[in-house]
Amino acid sequence: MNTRRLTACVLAVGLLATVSVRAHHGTSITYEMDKMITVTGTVTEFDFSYPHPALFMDVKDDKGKVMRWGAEFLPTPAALKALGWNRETLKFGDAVILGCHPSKTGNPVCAVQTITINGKAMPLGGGPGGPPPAGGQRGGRQ
Amino acid sequence: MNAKLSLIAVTLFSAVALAQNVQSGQNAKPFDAHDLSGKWVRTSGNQGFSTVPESGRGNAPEAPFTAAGRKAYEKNYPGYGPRANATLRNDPMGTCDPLGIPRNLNAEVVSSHNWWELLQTNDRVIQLFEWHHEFRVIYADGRKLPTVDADLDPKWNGYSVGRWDGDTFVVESVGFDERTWLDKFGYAHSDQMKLQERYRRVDADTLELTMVLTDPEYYTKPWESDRKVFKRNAFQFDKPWDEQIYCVPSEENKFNRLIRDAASGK
Repeated sequence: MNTRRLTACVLAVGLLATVSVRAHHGTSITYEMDKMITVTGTVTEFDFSYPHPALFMDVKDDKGKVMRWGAEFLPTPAALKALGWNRETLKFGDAVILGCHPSKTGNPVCAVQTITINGKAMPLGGGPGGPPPAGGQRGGRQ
Repeated sequence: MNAKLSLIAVTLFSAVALAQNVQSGQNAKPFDAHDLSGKWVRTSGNQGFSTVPESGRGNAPEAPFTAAGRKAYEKNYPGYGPRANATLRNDPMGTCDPLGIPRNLNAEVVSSHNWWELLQTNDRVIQLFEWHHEFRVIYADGRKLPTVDADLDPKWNGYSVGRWDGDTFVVESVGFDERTWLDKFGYAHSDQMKLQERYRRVDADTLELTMVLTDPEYYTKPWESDRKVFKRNAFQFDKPWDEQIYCVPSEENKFNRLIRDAASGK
């Protein structure tokens, strides 16, 4: 199966962006929520699980070395389903481009803000965490 | 004649009975104030047990800590709020440990994450919590609470009895496991905590809850929660009850190891 992996083209471009930031159970202390990077990679695994789905991908750096990246989605599966997602929206080998909040540690992990899958943009809601809940606040993973 | 009188009497009785259960307002739906059953989602904003400073609710007072209570609180490192700590966080939720009472009721039951459900029988009220697929039994058969001593093993959700006080269902509980937090901000309780919950259905789709915690080991005086408001079936998406919202330890461990701990440097 590894031979089927598309090699990733990686671009990790630091882009300062103004985004709507809301404290989201631990994300604000874990990720640079006022920064966005672009990460281009190839999907190796997608966990469509509660409370926040996770994506793993192969990403090639500018020297051609492949690194494993991880990314978490802030909306829950229920929120993503309302936007047209399901557990097969991301599949092994899909080419993805993420607009992502980088880890404060510099490790290859980020929190997804925008995503393009095989050239098609998929919605993630109006901001971190997706559509606002009825109560205006969220519970979930700490 | 007697039949006519009976019909009139039945009609009047039905109208009165219905009126007793209908709140004012033209579109109010009838409801039974003594029926608390349903799937409830918290819609009031505060995520803490009470409106503590961490809750971001104006000039909220700090908890009435004893020295031991403050020490226990300071050993808890939340992943949320002004005391959030990326590397030391030790919230039991992060390892899928039980949330316990009252946390099952206050912090995590919001759309699009969770809800809780209440079922009633003649002698018990049962609460179902989706996050751990766990249940809590509140005995409503007149029994007394057990004595809290070394023979009583603490339980995650405590031992609970309930009774009706007018249209308010009053639950008294003791025997809690002190490993649970009161809320996501890291407030602690000892195994001596006693909790009173007061549930009142204010209309067909609204349930209110207030709580008073008494724990002389950790708090100098009874500590009252804010008013929690829950709405029936208020999960915001199309197929909410098809979801399986479940804290699975192996999934959580993988997420922590590969995503959250890697991102935070824990």
